[in-house]
Amino acid sequence: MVSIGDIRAWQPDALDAAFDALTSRQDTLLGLADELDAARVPPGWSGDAASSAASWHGTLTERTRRIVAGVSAVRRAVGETSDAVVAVGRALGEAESLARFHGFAIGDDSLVSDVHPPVVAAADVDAVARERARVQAEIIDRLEQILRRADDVDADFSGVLGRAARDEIDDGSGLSLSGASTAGASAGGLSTIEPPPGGTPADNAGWWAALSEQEREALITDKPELLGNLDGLPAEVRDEANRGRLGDERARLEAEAARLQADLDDNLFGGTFTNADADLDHVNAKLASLDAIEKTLEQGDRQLLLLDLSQERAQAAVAVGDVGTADHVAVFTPGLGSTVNGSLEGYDDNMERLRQQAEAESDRYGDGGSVAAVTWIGYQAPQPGVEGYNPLDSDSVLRDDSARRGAGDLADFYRGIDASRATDPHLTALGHSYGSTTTGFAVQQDTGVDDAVFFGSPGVGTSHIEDLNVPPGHAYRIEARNDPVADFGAFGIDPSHLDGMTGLSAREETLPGGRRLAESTGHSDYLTQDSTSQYNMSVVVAGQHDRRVQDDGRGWGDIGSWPIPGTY
Amino acid sequence: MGDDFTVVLDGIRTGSEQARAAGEGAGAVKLGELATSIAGALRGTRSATSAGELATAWDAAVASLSADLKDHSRRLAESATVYEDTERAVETSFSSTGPDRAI
Repeated sequence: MVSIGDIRAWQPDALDAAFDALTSRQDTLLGLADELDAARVPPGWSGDAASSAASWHGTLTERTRRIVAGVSAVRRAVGETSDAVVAVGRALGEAESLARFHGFAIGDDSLVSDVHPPVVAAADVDAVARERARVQAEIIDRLEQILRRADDVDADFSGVLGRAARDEIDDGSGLSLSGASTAGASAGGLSTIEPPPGGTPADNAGWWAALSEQEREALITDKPELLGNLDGLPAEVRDEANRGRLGDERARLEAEAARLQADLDDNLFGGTFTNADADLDHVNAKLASLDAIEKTLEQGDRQLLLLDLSQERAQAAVAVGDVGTADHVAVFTPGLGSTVNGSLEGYDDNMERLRQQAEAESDRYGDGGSVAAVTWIGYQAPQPGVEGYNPLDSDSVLRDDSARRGAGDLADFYRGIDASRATDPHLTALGHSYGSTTTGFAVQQDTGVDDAVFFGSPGVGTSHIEDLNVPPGHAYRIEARNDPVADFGAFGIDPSHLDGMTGLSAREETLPGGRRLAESTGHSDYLTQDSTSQYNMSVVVAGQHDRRVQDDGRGWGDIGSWPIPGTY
Repeated sequence: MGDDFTVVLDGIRTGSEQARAAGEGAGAVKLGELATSIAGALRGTRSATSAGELATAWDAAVASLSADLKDHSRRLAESATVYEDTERAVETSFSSTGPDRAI
């Protein structure tokens, strides 16, 4: 097993020098072809002696070919190992930088030590300790992947060297030295290690960091389906990989639709006794989802961070702005009835305007930091209809099953944003309606989310603020007038009564500078342009917390949802 | 000495010279030291161990090939000499017993 100490002692420059020298030696050996050819038994010489000389010449030529094949195999392996060693060293450097930034140190034995714990106020001790534990776990995950990659490279390279030492490199057919060189080189390639099965976002980030540039480019081209949805990979990589899949996915779905349509046309009873008609509806909805995604991407300055067509309904996440470089990143999760084909374009428009608003507030009052905003439809949100309102159905909006299932993926998506970058952005989770429940369950895990805004929320999956793993005072709720959903208190108590949850206004307000903001009413106007609700989200997203306009947002409905002490 | 026979002898001699050149060329290719440098670049790994074994194997293979090519060269040269000597002897024999010789 390779250790961190071993990696630190590796010398890629020496490998580069060996590669150059092997190239030179290979050329010299290939240059012997002329001499060997001229040493053949001359025409006209026959008899036993001539046969013996020809046989011996053939043997010597073959032995030369085997050496050439071995040198060519090792040469290629050295080149690829050198690239991999550089990549592994770079990945270790990134992990070391991350560790140093947070006051940790990485030992030669892979031990991650807390060498500079910060001094914090008593009220922040738990939150800071939780955040440091998350960072430490991320560093450890990264180191595991670096060592996994280093072991893989060592095993592959050792294998080639061993086969060359045992003269087991295939020199191909024919008699030429160049043919042997080609055959040998083909035997000297190193494998590209696959992502860690079931890996965390930090695992994935560590895996990606330890790949060479050539390996990365090959994966993006040849296996985009492996990368596009992998939390922890750089946003630009996910975007490129997912965009690269759109054409193939469309062709696959169109073929599937044609097959299902043909089945229906050939069946006297249509889809009466089969699922073909329902399946066709799903496939057509996915094709419409691709249309919606492509139209959204055509807006420009977008990143396709998730494309999953394996579920009943399409799942996707589209960012406005660059998640890989933005100072502030917001992730919005919608609720009941959300679909890619029906909702993405509208929500993306909301996120575009929210992003502009947040950047404007950042320019006006803050550090002018850049903002990216993601519409995350990465779960099977409950749908209106018989199933959606059936309490016995696990996909029902009346139950939290869908939210719990989605929360796992959403939490990984949050973690992936932090893990994919050298420096964590200021990360805000936005959840609307049932999406706020999904968001609530997600931020109950350690995710790196710095602020959470729940609006029109029927509950955040808990009745206790301390369950939400965001810094104290950084969980917000917004309740508009005449929004009955926000009073349901269906998943945990009504957030209006959750002590420690900060209420933000959705009313008509006038800011200190005289700017007037509009009221939002009902369940679906929270993101309306120039509304107080949208303004409040924008200042939270921009990290301008002191600019927020607070309000308890309580109305008549909150009286009915008041929890009975001792019952939650 | 007939022209065809001369051509064959020249071919064998050329082959001998080229085999010797190939042997010297192969002997000049220092592969083992490269494998040793690879081992030094990745200390503590299985690859370093394998590279050490490769250094030994390559040195032996190259030395053996070089020696055998030179040996092949020597035998070709000896063959050419033997053929030439034999031809001269036969030629001499015929010259001393041929029909033109005065009795």
